[in-house]
Amino acid sequence: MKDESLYWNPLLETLPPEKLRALQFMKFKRSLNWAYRNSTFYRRVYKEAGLEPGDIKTFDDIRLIPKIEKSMMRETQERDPFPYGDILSVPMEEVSTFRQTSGTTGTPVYHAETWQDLDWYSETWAYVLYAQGYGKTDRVFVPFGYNIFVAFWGGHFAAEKIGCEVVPGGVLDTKARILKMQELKCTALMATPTYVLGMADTAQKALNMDVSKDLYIKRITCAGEPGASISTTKKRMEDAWGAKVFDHIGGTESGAWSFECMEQPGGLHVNEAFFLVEIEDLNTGEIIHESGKPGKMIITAFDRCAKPCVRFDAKDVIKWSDYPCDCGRTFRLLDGGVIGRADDITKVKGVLLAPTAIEEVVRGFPEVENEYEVIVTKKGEVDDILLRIELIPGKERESETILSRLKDQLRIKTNLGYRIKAVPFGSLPRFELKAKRFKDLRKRD
Amino acid sequence: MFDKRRLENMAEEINNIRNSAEHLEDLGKGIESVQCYVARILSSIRLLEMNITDVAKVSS
Repeated sequence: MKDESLYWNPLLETLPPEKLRALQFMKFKRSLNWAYRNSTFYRRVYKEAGLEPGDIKTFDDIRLIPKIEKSMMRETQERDPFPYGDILSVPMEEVSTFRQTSGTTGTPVYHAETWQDLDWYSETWAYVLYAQGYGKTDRVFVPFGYNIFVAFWGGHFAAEKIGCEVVPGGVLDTKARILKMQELKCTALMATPTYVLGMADTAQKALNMDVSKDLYIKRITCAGEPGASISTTKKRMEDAWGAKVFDHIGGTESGAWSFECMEQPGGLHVNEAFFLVEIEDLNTGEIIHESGKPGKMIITAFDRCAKPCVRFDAKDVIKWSDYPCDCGRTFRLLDGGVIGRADDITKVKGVLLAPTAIEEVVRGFPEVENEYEVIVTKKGEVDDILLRIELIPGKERESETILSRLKDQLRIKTNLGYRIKAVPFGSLPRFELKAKRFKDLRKRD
Repeated sequence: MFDKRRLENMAEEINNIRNSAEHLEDLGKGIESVQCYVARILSSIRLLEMNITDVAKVSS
């Protein structure tokens, strides 16, 4: 183990693997028992499967427990008690906070938290921020709307918990936020990758500022969408801000389950003391143990009270890495973070395509502006991919060469051919928080 | 490697704090402010158990 002070909890973060598995099994059983005893929904699901918690005797038995889909959570919301449905596992009087998912994949799912759950949620975020070097000397700016979405609420409370000073940047517009960060000499920031790039852009165009020179930000935690684990997008953000950019992936239903540490090893640690992450083969449904093979994440969050999360099918596509991390943590790494979402990864011209692969190529071209758009359609029986980009001002004369290089790089990366159009600068949609750059119109045809 | 004895001592102390908090909860029945703050204390104890006591259980 390295210096204990590098870890929020060295006991858990450097626990030998065999003890970590024993811990996970103990906690899984505890969480399963809680869900079965206290949630009508979970009891119904398990009884229909002919299972009781006592049937789970070994780690391998865990896969027998039925998975929970988001659609099941939506359906159960129709039942009492309002508004959460019979997945609720505590008396309504103990619910302290309402949250909901962002609704990007369908009807929002409502989520209840008790005071215990809020403490737990910020604890999982504490592991994230501490691993990214946040500490008592940081003044952390949190530029989000402080609304019904979970977003960075956990990050705010975790930053307070570990001793940072937090500046809540809700309500202010982007320019005001940038000026406030400058005025207060904030040292850290949490935002989506889209907004991180957007703020740098606004600073330059609207305030004539270079955020890497005129602000004091040393570390940025990104969450909410892919980006910070895509090397070219990370580089764009780090170059723009002159700061280290770290990825974190979590979920409303699950919690803050993964983090990139200060070593930036090219992957994300799973907080295996608070979560069980299983990877399911996309074709066979078997659990993948070996490194390098992508599959769909099934996640259990240990010890959530109001709304247990036991074997939730998160649809994130991930793969274990085959390398340890120099940080000394025994929490396993996911190579490349979340590669994509199972419902975003689609077949185009018979080839599997993850939108993040396109981002990685496009963002590797400094001549190309941050925003781009991919539109997949069907022309007769044949799939067509159109990539629309903006060249940064001054690069228009090199358009033919840039587009040709871009086409070649995309073919190498994705095994697909693209029609590429350079559209007028500023004409593509700009996104405030989470971007939706990939449009598959075949689904509507 | 973390001192096993120290870990066990911490787990024992956490259990003692839990017992004290639950005793206070009992003594303070009917006093809302006491119930509120004991609930907060028990929530923190729960996190200490996740961080320390659970490790002691698998290390013993």
